[in-house]
Amino acid sequence: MRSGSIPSFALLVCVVSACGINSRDVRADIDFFERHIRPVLVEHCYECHSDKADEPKAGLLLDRRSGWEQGGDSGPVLDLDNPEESLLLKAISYNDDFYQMPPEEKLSDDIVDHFREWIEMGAPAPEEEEDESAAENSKETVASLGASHWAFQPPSLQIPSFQGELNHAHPIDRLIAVGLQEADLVPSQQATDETLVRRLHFDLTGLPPDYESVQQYLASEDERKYEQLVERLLQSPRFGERWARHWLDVARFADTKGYLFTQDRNYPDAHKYRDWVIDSFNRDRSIKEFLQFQLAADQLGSEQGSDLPAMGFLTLGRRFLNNKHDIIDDRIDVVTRGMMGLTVSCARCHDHKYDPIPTADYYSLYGVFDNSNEPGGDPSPLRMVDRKDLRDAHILLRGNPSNQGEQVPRQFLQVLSPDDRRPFQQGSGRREMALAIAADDNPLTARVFVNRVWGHLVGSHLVDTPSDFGRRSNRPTQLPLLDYLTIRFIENDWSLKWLVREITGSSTYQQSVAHRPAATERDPENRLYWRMNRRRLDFEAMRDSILKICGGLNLAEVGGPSDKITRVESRRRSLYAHVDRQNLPSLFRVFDVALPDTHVPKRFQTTVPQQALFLMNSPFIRHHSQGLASSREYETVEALYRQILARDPDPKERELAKGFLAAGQHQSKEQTLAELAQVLLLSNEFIFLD
Amino acid sequence: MNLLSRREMIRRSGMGFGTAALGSLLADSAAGERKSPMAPQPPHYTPKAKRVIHLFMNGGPSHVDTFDPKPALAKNAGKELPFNLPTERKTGAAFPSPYRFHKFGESGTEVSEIFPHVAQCVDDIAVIRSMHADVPNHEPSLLLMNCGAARLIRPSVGSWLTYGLGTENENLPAFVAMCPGGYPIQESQNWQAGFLPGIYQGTYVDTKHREVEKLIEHIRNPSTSANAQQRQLNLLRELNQAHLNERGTDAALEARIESFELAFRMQSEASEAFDVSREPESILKMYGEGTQARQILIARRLLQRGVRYVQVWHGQGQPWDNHDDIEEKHRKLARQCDQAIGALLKDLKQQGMLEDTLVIWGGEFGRTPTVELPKEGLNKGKINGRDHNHHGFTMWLAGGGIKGGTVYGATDEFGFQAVEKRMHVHDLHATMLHLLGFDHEQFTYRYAGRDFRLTDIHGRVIHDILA
Repeated sequence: MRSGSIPSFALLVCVVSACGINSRDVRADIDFFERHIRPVLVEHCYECHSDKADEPKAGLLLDRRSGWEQGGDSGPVLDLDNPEESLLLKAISYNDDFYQMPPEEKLSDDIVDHFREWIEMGAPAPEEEEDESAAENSKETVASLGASHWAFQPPSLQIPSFQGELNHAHPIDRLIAVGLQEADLVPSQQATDETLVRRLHFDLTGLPPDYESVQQYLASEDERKYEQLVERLLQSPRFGERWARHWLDVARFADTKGYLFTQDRNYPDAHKYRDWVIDSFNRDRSIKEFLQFQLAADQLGSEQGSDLPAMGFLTLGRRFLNNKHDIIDDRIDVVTRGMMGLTVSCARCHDHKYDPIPTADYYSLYGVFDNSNEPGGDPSPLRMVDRKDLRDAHILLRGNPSNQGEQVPRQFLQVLSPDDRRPFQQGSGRREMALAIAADDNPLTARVFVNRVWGHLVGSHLVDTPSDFGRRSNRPTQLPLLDYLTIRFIENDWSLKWLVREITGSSTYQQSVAHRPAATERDPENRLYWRMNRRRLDFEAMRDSILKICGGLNLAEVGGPSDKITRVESRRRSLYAHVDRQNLPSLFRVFDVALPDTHVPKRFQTTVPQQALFLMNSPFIRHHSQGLASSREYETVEALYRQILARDPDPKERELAKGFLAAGQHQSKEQTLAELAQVLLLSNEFIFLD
Repeated sequence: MNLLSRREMIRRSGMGFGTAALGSLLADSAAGERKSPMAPQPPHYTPKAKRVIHLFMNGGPSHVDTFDPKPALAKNAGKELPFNLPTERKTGAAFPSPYRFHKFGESGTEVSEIFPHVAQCVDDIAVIRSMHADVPNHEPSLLLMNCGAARLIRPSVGSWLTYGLGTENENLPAFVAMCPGGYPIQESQNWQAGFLPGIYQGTYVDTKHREVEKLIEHIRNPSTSANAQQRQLNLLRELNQAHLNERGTDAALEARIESFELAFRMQSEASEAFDVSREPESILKMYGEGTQARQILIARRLLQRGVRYVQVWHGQGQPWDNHDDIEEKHRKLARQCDQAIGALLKDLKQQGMLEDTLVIWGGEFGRTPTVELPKEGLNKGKINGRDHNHHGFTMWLAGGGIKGGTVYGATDEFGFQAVEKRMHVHDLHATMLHLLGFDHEQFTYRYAGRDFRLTDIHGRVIHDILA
């Protein structure tokens, strides 16, 4: 499971040396041990040489640094002056007369080489009491690790110049052209108008276009018809609904607290948070403010308190049987992964293994949340307020509440702070934290948001671990593109609508999805974006589309209380679903809806027969296909095609459909029409987006 | 090791851009067989067990009344023990088992009179008398037993195994959790997928029902005839094929086409699998009457058809949680399931399935050897029950790779805590994964920047109970 670690290590070394540091970073050495040495010891040596063994063989322990430093019954096992003479190396090379370890089978040459290299480095390994030394994690280490990783550097603007026509292309297309030219690829043609209309409708509103609007678009000779369509969809209230659902995945939104034995599990006001998100997107609130308010609307929002529901982002998590430490951990996680792409909660029990996040930083943020209360009986139940009697948190050694270490001040993460980092001054520090996270000069936050939007619109992310921009994330192939969008996004006051306009305005976005064998061979995953990605409708878009087409979708109301949408009679858009953490409807699970337990970076997409069963047999599909067929308007094959697929059938399709209707003559026409409608609703054309 | 490629596949297909990569995976697989996230695949090394049935006595059965006899309790009946460990509630004097124990089989393993049918099978069973967990409360102990972590959101054992192994029969759910009458406490978290894809979560079946329509969602269409549905699927295939032809190869489109074929087969296969009335009279008789018999027999039919992991819960809530009237209640609970469990072991053996089916019996913890003191609002007026006990309890394993006729470990002379060869729940998990072919330290999933394991940083494989 640790494949690919050699190249990434090599990358690390050259990055570090590029910064002018000659001696190898201690952290990198330990990283080497963790990647190449410890797993081998665990797998091949622990059985006899660890405290798990009843009695360690030859008195040698290999589960701790002191073990190999002290050696065993045969004396020292390491000779740091003459690595080749080390008994450990000789034993695993099968070069010793007496010891040939592990006895079952010689380790691979690669592994032996790793051991040789490790001994040559001086056999670096973490201190055994590493946790205790967490707070001493030196500034130099954090700073140098920060300096060596792309995501901690500010974005830089580099738009390439080209000869000729390409130089006038959209900046996105010019940036994409760099990678394509290097790989000797050309972009795909523009998709057809029909495809573009459908693509834009789903991407911006999560709903399909109707036949008439497709026809109007095709008929229009206005040069600006594409931009006008984008604009019209951006102004639709459906835009905020669609994009709110994307954000609710990030926010691990749900209407309940999870398992609690006796107490009421509901968050009766959860929908107010959802409504605030929808409204923010619809009126194009600056994303900077959008993020800040979710952390500290009590100290930043309007005086009327209309922004207080924003804090549902923090307060609507699972309650873990009211265990305070776990509740705070969940909040640290949703804030740091969701907004900054940093896995800070990895540092709960020990310094982050890969990223420059000492445990002390975790407990600095812990202190912020520990000093923020949810006032009971408040008219704005989702809010937080600062405690009156402030207190700094203690580091909990190994995350254990009964094992308190030193106290740490409430302050921002070291790696993202200036050299003279100061503790937060005001109250819990939540407001200062919010301003530090959603800041123009935070190298992560805007990038993370831009990357999410790109992923939703284009179907694959520029950084394919959208909630982990730490050192284990690969430097994106298209970093200049990410940086370009990020810088412009910030210049445009963090406007989501600007960003959507910018991306959809590129030829890259408007490309056809068509398969090109030669290009596929060169770039099978389409990392270079030589075509558009084909996507499948998510559960919400699928259900909403079926409802809309069959005449049942309630589009009059935006926002409002959650609805049990698994009821056949529910007519609300799927984002208004009442989400019970503890008893998520199996329907959601089957269709890969984001689980609301913790923050979800991106949804899985699976294809399983249970999805097909739902579409073949459920009361939902039967009700709606029968409803459609019972309407006088849809008695012909043409009418059904227009209503469901927003196009006319071709002659072959017409013939097939007529044959299908004829074969059902023994039953009512309405029933057979309903069966035909259902087939069209089940088709790949309906469910996939070209 | 194919897990990596599976994870890759999920990751790629997760964003819908992995079609070409998926295509090459398809090309790699033999005979053009479709690779899906549920396709069967081999673990780290040759497994001893290929499937698991976990009989979950939720609430916590008393070990000193079932598989861990303690004559010292009778000698000290009504007296304070030399020590009393903290549990959920206060307990008092030694409370001897009201039941008699006898030796059975060639192994001479002692079993309480309330499990006479299971007792007939002791030579196939390894009884672990030295289990221990972390706390004396249901919620964290259930999560520990099922997911390896007491509080945080982690995938359940069944989810890990279906993720790692896939299923032998894509026409049925790979991981089934049965509980008659509703959920156990902690509800669906007991079979959660956590950070794994949702398809690896257990499919809950309320085995109080008998009709297949109520057991499996959307398994039949009441308004469309079978012929009409066949016509629908024919037309669908034709339309989808034309759509695909226009677009060249695309594994995601092909997989969805296939999923309808699978679903169509599932309709008949699942209906058949859940219908115990198709069993011969002799088998029905062997399992006996009642809900437990029916659900354990359904479980056997599912296992037989390639389902990877079946968890059979005794009932809604916490039936084995007998804080009072334990003599009567435990006897009744055991009577409900004993015959069927014995029948299951014999039946699996007769069919040659026991050797690669791991059978697990137990609760989330055991019960105190001391009597629980009455308390207002709980068990007022009763001094005849036992409190929860995580310090020591009994579970048993049988089948796939287990050394039958074994008794492993021991509690102290009163049965309060595990003292010899202590086996933590993490050790049980490590051992289970081992039997299923996984090194529990190498079987990981990358999530939120970390490689997670079922056993976290714990767990030892207990080789003494392995055949």
